[in-house]
Amino acid sequence: MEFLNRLLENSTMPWLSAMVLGLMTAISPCPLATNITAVGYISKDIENRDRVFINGLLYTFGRAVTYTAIALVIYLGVDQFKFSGFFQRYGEKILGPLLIIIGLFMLDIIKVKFPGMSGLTSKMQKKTRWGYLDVILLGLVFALAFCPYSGVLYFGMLVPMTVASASGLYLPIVFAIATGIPVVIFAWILAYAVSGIGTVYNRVKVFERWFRRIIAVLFIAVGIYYVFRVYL
Amino acid sequence: MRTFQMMLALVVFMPVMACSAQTEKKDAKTGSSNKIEAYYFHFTARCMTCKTVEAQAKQNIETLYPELMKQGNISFQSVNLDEDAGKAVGDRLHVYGQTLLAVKGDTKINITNEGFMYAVREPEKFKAIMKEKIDALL
Repeated sequence: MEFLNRLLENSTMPWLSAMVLGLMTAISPCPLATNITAVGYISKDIENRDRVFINGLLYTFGRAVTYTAIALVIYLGVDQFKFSGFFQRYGEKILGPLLIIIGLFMLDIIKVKFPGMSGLTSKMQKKTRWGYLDVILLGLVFALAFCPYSGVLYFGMLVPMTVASASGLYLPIVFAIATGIPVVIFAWILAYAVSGIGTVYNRVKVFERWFRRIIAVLFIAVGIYYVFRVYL
Repeated sequence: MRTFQMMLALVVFMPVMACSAQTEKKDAKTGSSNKIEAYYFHFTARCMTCKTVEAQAKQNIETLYPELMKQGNISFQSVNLDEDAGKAVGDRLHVYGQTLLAVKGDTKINITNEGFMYAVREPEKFKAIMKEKIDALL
């Protein structure tokens, strides 16, 4: 962290500053709970390491979309202070209940049948396009959950750099990649380690089913943590 | 997943609807006074760094300007934006998120970024920056 601070102070290149800010966001204790949840979700297709890697990239892409969209809206003239205040006020408040709901869906405790659609879980477990879309959505939503520290790094430091000129609009993408890197690396290491063990015992499928249940419980636990933190 | 998408749409578009066009950002009328008021704005849920920034800022003002404190010419206030009273102060100063602000009359100085950069690991540097910025207001 000390090193990153120094790098940020001395950086004259905007892309490097954006990258350092992203890394500082990723490794700060503040968004750690969402990062752990993200690692779990990205690794849900644990039998397939390539797939885990693609999931990680798509999760990062989702984050990039959110960060760029927010910067763009501010660039187009929305009041930066009101806008950032909204996210700082509601980001964490929405996140807790949302994580719990997603966890309950994953465990099949909540079952909603939409016309023309079969159960959510079976959709998610099938290797359809849905499987990719949900990871992107997760990136989109998790990027919206600004905790106080990451809120200052993004709105206080990255956004002013970004909106200073139209040529700065690539910076949120660099920032998003940096926030996603540690998550992707951990997910991939996890998948590599687990699938290695699984192959030895030829039980990867069974393990994956249980792994998904563990992730669902993780979502609920992290959701409860946020609810306690914010509301109680 | 449909529910997820709908929620996402809500989360994404609500602020766009809620936020009106650009309003004045800085130098809002805050009353003409010779007194310097330092504010730390926060929400109810707070992180460790945030608490440190507040504690350091308060301590710095107390140790840097003890005389002015005694005379009542400088003050430090922690404001919770989740409370109605705090929100009113925020609205008056056009502050809607976590912010460390020094105000004198119509002049506002934002020290939030410096606080988050240095309060935890380099408190002396943070103190020096606060002194430089607040001295400029004196």
